[in-house]
Amino acid sequence: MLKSNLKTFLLFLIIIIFFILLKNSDLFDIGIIFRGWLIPQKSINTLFNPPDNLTEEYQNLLAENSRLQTLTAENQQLKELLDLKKDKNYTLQVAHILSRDSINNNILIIDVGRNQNIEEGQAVVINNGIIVGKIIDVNVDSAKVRLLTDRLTKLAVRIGDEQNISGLLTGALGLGMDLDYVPQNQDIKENDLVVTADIDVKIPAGLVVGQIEKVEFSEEEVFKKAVVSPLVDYSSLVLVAVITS
Amino acid sequence: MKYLFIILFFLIAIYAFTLLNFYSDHWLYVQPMLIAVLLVYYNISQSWLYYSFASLAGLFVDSLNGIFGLQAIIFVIIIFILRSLQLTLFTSKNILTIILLTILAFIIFWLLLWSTSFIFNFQLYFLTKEIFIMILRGLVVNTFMTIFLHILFFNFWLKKQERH
Repeated sequence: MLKSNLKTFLLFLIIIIFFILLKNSDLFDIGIIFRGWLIPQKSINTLFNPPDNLTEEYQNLLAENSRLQTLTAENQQLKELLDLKKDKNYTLQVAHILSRDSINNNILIIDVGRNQNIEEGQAVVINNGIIVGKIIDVNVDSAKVRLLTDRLTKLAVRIGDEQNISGLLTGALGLGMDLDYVPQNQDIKENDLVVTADIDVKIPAGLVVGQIEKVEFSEEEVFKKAVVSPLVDYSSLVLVAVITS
Repeated sequence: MKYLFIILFFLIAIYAFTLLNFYSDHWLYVQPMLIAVLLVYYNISQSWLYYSFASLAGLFVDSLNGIFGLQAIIFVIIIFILRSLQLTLFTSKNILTIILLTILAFIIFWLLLWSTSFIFNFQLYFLTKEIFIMILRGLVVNTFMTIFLHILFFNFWLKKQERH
């Protein structure tokens, strides 16, 4: 029995490794089949707005209303993205969020990939040109996004109205962001806007990151630190756009 | 009928997985797919069936996760360890054995996940005190859910089928 168990285990292990190899060599990705099943938000909206013991017609109207509300919000976001595209002359690729990583929910899976010219390091923004993350891995039909609140995020930024103060932004356990390496002689204060710097070629300068919430100042330290709060709730993101050029 | 049960379990687990992923940080450490894998393992006797289910469930999670293949391999390893233990140490099928095996399964899951993440340096997962506490909470919820659903299924379905 033990031998038979070992044999079955090895057989299935080999099958999984075979699928991994197929995916890594871009021959076949079984994930495409699973991702194709998912229609982002649609099923969730139905569950969170359940029609209860009302008449059938009213139930249909509720479902329709819920669907239209989702479409209106999506339409608004698309309009704002279109404005951003016109204003800044960016090439944007609109994407739906398919899922969040089940262990680290600061990693998003979006439904655009190499086929849509997505590359690693590109900026992911929402409606008003607010950067929310960076692409860290690309598949044929999907891509992975690391949100700015992830602990392993690093982003060069500028602070203040004149935006000539530079610093390094890192995520803070998914709750907010920490700003570091701000020279002691530079004056930063609460509610100052934090925007992207022009260091990274794939991330345009001037994209809004967040606002300074608290400045931590100590004379013993070489640099100032600050806590940055995002301008949007990262947990409610549905539609994003990738700046491809 | 058991095939229908497996398909139903798979669909419910997919739904729960998608919901938890979108809607809360604290519920992130509840693993509906692993719960489904364990339930299928406890209630189905054909090895090819529960191994297939574990692989398929794992590949589904991986297709929406950071690292492709990781959870599928972990699920299959968990089933292998549980089966080996049942053939050697825990030969009885009482509820205490099921509780022990369930707790062990989730411990193996997290151990394998963090150790592979540490060894291969995936740059996606990191362990902190807060995350550890949430994992412990999740462990209680996961174990409770698995045992509860297993008892429900065993008493209301399997016994009935046996009588027939």
